[in-house]
Amino acid sequence: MARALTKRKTDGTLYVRPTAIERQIDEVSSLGLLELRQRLMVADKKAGGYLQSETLVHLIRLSILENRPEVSGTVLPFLLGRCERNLNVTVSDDLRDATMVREDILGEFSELLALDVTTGSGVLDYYEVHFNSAFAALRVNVVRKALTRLKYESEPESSDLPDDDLFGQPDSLVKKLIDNLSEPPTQEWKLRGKLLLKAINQLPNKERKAVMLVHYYGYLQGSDDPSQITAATLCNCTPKTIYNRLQRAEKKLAAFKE
Amino acid sequence: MIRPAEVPQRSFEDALYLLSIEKNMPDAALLDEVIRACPEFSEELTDFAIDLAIDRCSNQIRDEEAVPSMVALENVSPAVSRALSRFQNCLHSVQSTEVSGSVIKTLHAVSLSREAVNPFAHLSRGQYRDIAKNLDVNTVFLSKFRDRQIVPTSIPVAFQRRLASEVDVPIELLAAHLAAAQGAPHGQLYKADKKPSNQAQQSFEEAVRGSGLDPEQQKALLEL
Repeated sequence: MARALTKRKTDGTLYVRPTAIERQIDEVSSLGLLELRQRLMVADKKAGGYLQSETLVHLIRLSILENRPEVSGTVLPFLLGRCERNLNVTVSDDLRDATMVREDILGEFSELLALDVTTGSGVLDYYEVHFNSAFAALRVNVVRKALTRLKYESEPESSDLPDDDLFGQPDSLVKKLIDNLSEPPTQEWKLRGKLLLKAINQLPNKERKAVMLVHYYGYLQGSDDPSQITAATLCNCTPKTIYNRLQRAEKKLAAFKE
Repeated sequence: MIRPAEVPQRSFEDALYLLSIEKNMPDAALLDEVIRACPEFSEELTDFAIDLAIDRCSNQIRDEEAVPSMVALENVSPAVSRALSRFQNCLHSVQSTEVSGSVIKTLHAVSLSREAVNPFAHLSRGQYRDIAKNLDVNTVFLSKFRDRQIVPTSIPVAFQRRLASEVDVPIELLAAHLAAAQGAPHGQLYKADKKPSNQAQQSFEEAVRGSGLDPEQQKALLEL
């Protein structure tokens, strides 16, 4: 049985590995290096012998802890290869210096693996629970840092737009499109969704934030109740500013109304 | 379930992972919960949540990854090769650094509490100025690291390494200091009329641009 994880969920309870991962860890712990390598060569995620990335992280952690570099030396290139393939599709070529950013993410992940055992940070627990989601957190964060370095836009605030419907949730087409992204019914919707996300990504940061907070997360633009979290409180501005940012964004995304 | 008082304080890094792994698609309830747990990072967490949501939406409409060929599995690409070197170098530097038992204890304690050793605390004024000079920065900029005024995740690893080397502490100890909660140590004296209060943290880039560094210094730091 693999050792217990130490990180906690938002409700304070300890994270546990999914049962299938626990079972796989038990199964592979008795494998020799040759058998392990054979299992690592199973590339199809749907195949029975496929080793989950969560299991690979566990094996690497354990090998560092037990000073068995031959295990981490065998497993790590496969895990990093998976990460690289993931980054090739998830980090868009549209991003300037995309190759460098992908390499940064791979490098940061490598350092995370090397430092975890020594520092006792336990951050790799997240990768043993849900590798893809944890890796997405790292990826999104590194891409954000890269964008911050590259993007210096200053967005003038406009306050001359009307403030009617201020606290309403507009029946926006953008919202409908975002809602449909989760279950795209057709290839056409997939294409439309890709274009929409690209357009949202190209909005100035403040408008993008307003669009996503209101239309994806469903926050109210503002509220009379000071204790309520709204798009305005999250953006540290007035509800009217949120409204204006939404108006400007809607105009830029008007092409999707066709 | 454990009582709230027993829940350890969460770092910014923990908050990012929680937002990412607790739900398949992040939602307002989760974001509210994480922000309430880490109110000091509410702005950064909101920005991260926006990008995470866009990333997840993109995943929904992305075509499935093709199964790699045996040749692709056998081959180690140049990028993976460089990442492997980074892993080995990092592991070697950690294992070969004489990290004392007390440092290890401190590092473990940091993950459980918000107290951390301030590696700048023992420096004399002269040493402090020398470190700033060696890093080609000014003391205003350096003080932002001492006082934890910079969002730790925004600091390039290369700069953290250089800073740790100049301050002569293991990088883990510096990272622990940077990630710990802001605030003056207990018993700290102050000259101002009012007790010093925590300031909002800046990103590394904001600190570079807002510390009176000359354009060349700024360029060098932003290229790290």
